[in-house]
Amino acid sequence: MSAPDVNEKRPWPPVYDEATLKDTIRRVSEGLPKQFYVTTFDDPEPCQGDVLELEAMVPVLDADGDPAAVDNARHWLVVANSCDVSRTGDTDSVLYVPIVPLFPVTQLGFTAELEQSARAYRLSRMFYVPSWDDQIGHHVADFTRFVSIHRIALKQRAQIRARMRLDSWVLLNACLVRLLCREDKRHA
Amino acid sequence: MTSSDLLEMEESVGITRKTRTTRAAPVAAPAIIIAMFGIVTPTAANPSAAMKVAASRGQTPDFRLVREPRVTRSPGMSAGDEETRATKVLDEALSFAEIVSRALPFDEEMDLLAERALRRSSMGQVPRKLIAK
Repeated sequence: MSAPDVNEKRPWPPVYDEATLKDTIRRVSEGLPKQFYVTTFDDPEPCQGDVLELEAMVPVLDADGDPAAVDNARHWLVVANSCDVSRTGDTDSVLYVPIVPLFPVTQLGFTAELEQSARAYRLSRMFYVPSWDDQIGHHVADFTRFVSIHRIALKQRAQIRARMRLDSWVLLNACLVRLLCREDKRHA
Repeated sequence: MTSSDLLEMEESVGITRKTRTTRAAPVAAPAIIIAMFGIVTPTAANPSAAMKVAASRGQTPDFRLVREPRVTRSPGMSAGDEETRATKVLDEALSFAEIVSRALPFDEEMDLLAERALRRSSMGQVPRKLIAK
């Protein structure tokens, strides 16, 4: 594989090419990587794939179409584009960014088979988030409940607890694409 | 769609990762951006490919979900250039979605079971209205 051409006349150079992408998705999704997260990071800016700690209820529009809240979440996953999160000087243009709640696997009553499917990333509406701390169990991110958070709250109230490695982030990115573009089997 | 067509489409794939610089950098693949605007499946989103697949099965393709990507014409860009650029953007998005679709299959049955487990864990809670009527 040739290295990306950083001098290419595009707004930003691609970090990896198609072959790398396919290989990464396949490799990471075949089993949990031993190191899902980076061990240290010194950038305080949240970015896509970060695990946040923020005790809050999960807001939804209920069956009547009214704003409501159900389920308490302690941890969240940033699904916003990192550039939207880190814009400077134009807060007015992007006030809210999406995050999704994380729920401990142990609270969901998953069967062994179901948990194995989650670990193998065969669930299209959830994303398996392995433990990022010895005191914290494995979680799943609920892709059906995107929540908008004000950027100021994201930066000032939420604490970044873990940051994915590049391979893990590629898998998350691919799962987000799959969520929106998944095959509907109409031509199977 | 032939394998060479697919190969040609895949060769145009690129994806960017946020770089830690002072300027903002894109993190989303074009597929996500375009998908947000209405493309649901890679096959259905490519009229020519969908047409061939559907025709081979004696079906009528459903193009209701197809929408052209938004491409802004740069100063000095001709209509032809614009069309080429639009096609390239769409092809990149389609090929990325195709790659994801093949590399990361999902299990519909497990999907439903997981959804039920998640909802069951919330069943004891009544959504609390945030604005009193």
